[in-house]
Amino acid sequence: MSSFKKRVPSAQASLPAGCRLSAYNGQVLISTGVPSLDDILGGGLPVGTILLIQEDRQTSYGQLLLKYFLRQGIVAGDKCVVVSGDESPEAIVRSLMGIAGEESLESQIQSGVDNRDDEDEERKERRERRKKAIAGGAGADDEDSEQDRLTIAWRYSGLKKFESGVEARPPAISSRVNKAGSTTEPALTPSQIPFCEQFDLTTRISAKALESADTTLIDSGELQKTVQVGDSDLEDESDDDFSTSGSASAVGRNQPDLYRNVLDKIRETLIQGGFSTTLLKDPSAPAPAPGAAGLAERHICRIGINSIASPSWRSKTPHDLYKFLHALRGLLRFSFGAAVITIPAHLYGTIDQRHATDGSTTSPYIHRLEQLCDASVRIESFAGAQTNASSAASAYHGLFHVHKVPVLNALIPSSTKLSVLLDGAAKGSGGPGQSGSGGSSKGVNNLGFKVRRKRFAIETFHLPPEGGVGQRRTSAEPSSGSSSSLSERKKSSSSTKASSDPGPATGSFKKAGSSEEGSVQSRTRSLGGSSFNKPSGQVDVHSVPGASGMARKMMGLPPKGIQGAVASGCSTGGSEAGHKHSHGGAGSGANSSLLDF
Amino acid sequence: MGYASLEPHLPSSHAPLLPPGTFLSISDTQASDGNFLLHHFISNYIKADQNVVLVGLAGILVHYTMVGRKLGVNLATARTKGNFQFVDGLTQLTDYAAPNKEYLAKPVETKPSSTTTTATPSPNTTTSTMGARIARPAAATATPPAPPKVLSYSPKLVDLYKALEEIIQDTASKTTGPFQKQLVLILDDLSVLLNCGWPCRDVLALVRYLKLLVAKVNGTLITLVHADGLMAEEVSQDGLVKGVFYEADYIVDVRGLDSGGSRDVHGQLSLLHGPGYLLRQRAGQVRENEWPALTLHYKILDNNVEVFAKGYSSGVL
Repeated sequence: MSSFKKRVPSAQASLPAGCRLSAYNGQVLISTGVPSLDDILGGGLPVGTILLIQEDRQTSYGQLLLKYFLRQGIVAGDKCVVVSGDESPEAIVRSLMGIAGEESLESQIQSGVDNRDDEDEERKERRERRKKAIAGGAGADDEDSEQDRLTIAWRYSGLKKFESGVEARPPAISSRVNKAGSTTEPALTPSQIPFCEQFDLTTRISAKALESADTTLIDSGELQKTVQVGDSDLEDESDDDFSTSGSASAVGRNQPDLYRNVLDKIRETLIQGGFSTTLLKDPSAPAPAPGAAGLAERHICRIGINSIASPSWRSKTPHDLYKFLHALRGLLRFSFGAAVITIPAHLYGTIDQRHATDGSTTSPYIHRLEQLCDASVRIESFAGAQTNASSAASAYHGLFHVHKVPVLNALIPSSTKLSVLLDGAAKGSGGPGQSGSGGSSKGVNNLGFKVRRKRFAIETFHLPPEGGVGQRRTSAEPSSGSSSSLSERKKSSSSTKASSDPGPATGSFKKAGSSEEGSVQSRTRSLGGSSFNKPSGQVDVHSVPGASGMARKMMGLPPKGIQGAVASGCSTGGSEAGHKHSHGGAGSGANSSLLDF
Repeated sequence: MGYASLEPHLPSSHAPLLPPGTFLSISDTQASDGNFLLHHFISNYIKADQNVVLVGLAGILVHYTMVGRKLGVNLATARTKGNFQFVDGLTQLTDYAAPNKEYLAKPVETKPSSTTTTATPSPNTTTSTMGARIARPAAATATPPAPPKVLSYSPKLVDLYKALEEIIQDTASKTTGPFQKQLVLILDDLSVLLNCGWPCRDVLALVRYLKLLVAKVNGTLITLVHADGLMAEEVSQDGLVKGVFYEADYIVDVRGLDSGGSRDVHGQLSLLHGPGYLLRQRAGQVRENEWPALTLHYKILDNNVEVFAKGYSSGVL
């Protein structure tokens, strides 16, 4: 036989549950529970690091990310340490989200309803509309088949589909259905635990999962009370010790040292659970050799700290938090653990900084915290921002700023190599060798996030096309007298196809899914009241997939609008449409012939 | 060697090393980490078979070992040879982290006070995090027996200085031969000391002391400090950056491009003359053009850093 053998990754088998190795530097990664955030961090959060999430104002998306992190930990059977002061940690754990498809499985099997595909709501809506259109065919337009073959912007049809997000790997639904069918739920072997589960924000964590979860709850608010009581007794004795410590800690020495207590608890958990590689439960005992065999049964300790340094966290000195983070990093670097910390960063800015929208303006205090963390991201929700962006981009719920990504055991962060969202080059039009030859002036994308009913997703942020395709389309909708004939014409061809064989029809629909989504969003956006300023050439570039539909819409527009479109030089197709329209007036014959060119 | 394209721009008199008795201060910002410059000097000194004492206040040994491997130096063997000393300034530096000591495996002897370095024998796992061990189990088991020295908590920075002094003199005394080896002391993040509550004045005093100490043993001091413009409002932070610059002979300022991020240019390096250099220049102790002050651009690659003149990036040309 040849000497070429397929290399079986033996290390993969010995990884702790729910972990994977970084494709770039072999770091052990755990998932944050959000595929797009994993992508930004370079595949996942490296074990032994701290991720700082700067919270949004008025909304709680930061906490949502923290919950994803903890929930994924419960799925993987990890130890979860929840530290919270403002809310009770128990409430946070109870309000974790459920796994997609898990809750509804029993009822689903009985009723035979297929809602396994909990993809985007819009997509489902589209499908329903489409079904209606096929069945009734009363004036509803049938764009789907048209979008498969672009008539006007045909030259773009060869391009890759525009995607702004990261697809989550579909979970093994079938296996889960089988599993639920047999009521005795067998424990998943470590290799079966998905790196990143799909969660459903509409459901809550099941009681069974909550029972089996290995959590340690640290209520820093409670801790503070007990510490205060304890300290008042000990104050006299401990006074001497404190006075010797440097001038920094001399300030407010009879206040409780909350951060120290929290850190002590975390350390205790790490040591008792055997997560630390250097610190042992019983120092006098000989160190057990951590063999590779033990790794498979090993779990990760996930530390989630909610709203650290919020007003309820009292600190002795301003350096408490820095010391806490430095010490935590020292602990975690030598542990099977990772931490996600959210902080209400907006409380720590000067007034003008608080209203700033660009990522560069964080307060010095927060900035120094970022130095001590391995990764730092900031969530800026539109609900709490006084920016114009919110009105312009209602498809997103806010902006997502990446301040720092982990650089471990390498010169460059692995996310610059691997991330799709951060760097357009990773996905762009070129191949893998493209990174050397720079084309774009900016390597970093703007990111926004959306919270749909079921999931949180970070995507590349684009302003909607100015004016929007949907603006014209919606204005055309009422006076669809001219387009009814053509839709009938279309329907006759497509409905026969669809009714004869529904399988391929849905398949084609799925293919066109993402582009359709875009057009739908732009429609709702413009309905939401963004003003129609002027048609610009860019519109068509953005909305390539919907271009044919748009040309159709344009025919329903009053001539004035078409003149505008022509004047701005939208596209050749558009201008031709305009000419034909003015020639043939509102005649339906002219319109339908137009579509065939 | 470190980064070949950076080499011509560094002081030439002792290339590839820095002139002994000097102090190079590196300042960086969050957007453009200056850590890669430290790797350059570590690998250069190790390659030249000189002594390196690295104080990891922010990074751990595994990080430097892994990057060193990418740059073609084996820090593990250098440690066994005694060329490379790593001082752990992360796990027990603050009073918060001090209790860690109690849980370390097999403390053979308890030091009378926490002020001295505790060379606690700990298992081999000390030097390896998970990533390294899983990726290369063979390399992890081959780590040298000597664990890294640990800087343990003390309210006074003087004690840290004493601990470092001990290590440096220990390292220097080992290699007293016909010709004295050069030594470089690298502090990987001075800002950590400030953040952990020591006053700016003390940190600056530590830097000054270390500079003199290192000069005595034919050595060079390299420090890294974060100097984001955003934090310049803070008196202590600003004082630290300016104070360190005042002590320095050479200054390398790393920052991002003013025009924002770029795929082909990760940032710019400003090579500046510190007051020490200017003094020596006036005294005629430096050659003409030993270290021309200029601004360069750089791009970090997998295992190299490209340094080029402004406007000469591969994306432009």
